[in-house]
Amino acid sequence: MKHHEQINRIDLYHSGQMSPQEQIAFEKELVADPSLKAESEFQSDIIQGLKEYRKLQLKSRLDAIDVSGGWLGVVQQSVFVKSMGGVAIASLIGAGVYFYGVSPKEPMIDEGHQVFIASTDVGVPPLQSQKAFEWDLKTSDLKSDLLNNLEQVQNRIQAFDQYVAAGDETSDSVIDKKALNEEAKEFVPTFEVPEIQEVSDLAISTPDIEETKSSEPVEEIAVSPLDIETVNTKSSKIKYKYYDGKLFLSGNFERKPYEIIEINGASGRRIYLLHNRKYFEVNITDRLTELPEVRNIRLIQELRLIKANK
Amino acid sequence: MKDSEVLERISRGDEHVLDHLYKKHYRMMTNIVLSNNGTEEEAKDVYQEALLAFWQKASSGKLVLTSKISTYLYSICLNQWRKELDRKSRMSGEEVDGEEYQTHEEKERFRIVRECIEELGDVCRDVLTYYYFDGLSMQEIAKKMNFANTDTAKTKKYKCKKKLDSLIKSRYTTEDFFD
Repeated sequence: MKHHEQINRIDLYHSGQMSPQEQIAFEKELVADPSLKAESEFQSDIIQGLKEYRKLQLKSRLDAIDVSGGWLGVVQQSVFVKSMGGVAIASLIGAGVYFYGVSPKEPMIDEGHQVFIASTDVGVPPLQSQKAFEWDLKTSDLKSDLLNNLEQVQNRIQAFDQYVAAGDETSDSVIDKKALNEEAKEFVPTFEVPEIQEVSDLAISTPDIEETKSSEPVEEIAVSPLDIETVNTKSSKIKYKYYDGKLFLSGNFERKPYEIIEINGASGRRIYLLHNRKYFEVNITDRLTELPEVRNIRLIQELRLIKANK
Repeated sequence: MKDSEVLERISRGDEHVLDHLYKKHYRMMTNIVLSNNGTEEEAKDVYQEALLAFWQKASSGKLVLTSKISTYLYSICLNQWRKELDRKSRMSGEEVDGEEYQTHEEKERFRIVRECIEELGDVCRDVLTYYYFDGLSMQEIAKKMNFANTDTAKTKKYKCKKKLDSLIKSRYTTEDFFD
């Protein structure tokens, strides 16, 4: 056999590319032929050297990568921060939608535009008509209200036409002010009272903002690390102890590793363990106890969601 | 980047994916060691070994992935650190001496081979390491190194290997190696 063919066979043997039968046959040859054995060992060292060289090359490449990422990197990788970030964004969107939904009513307490809003609600003055409908629906009263409002609108239109006819186009605000003065006498008591009440209702919604503030100190809890000690056993049951921030686990993790899901919230830290597609809840105990499986479907779904998003 | 894309790029020998994976899972993987009485250095070492084992399997096409890459890496890190802890706990004074001696011997042999590898040109070194460590096929090596075709890669590999063999043989006798 030629030398390069021999080297090829040694190559195939050391790179695991021989079939089991070829491997057995080659090993028999190695035993029978000391020079082949020596060559094989020599080649093995060279291949090993090449592998080690490449490994070092790749390791130095990895060493050059900045993995610190600063506090931002740690924060970004934190499951807690991600979930709290989601809550904060949801709160902001909720608050935005709430205030945006209320905002169209704001001009009603803006004196500068009161005139025009009143004119669009001629037939249905907000609280007056509602109260009348609720307590005593008298058509004569409604008619008189409507007639009164129509008269007021007609007066305002006339006043506006007079200003325009007089060629006084210097400023709309002058017209507004004039109309405002008239309206202040006639409409303010009717509209301002209910609107002030609505504004005071808005003030009640401030707890939403406080809730987001209350989450700030929780971030500090998330930073404290969980100390885990694992002992591998043959038992299918997982036993644990958890106290003073130390978690001791014993179970069969040889083939299927476990995963810890840590949730830090305002009520404190909650720890869950995922093993063999089952979720377990870790409670504080200083006695070696069997880990209870999570049965609550909603909680399991939440945990799956957190796991998928981490 | 999706796992399928990662695997596809690794099979082409795209080392940027290695950087991406390393950075992405660093905190999670090193935490396995750090939260189990390991140091930062040990944690980094375990993670790098695990990632390179994954790289080697994936690039050679021997990997059949049935879980997420992160889960796979996690299990390698966990097993490696468990083995390391077992090794530490089993270690007696006598065994330590034997092991240190053996490691020294291995290191010396590696140093000899390494010197010769360093004397090879860049192209030879890359062809041989891509073939023996990364397990890339001749076709992939040809593509990665912009060779004309697979045959050129084969010839290059053969000549480079021959050159390395003779370099080592010319400098060291077999006795130096195996005594």
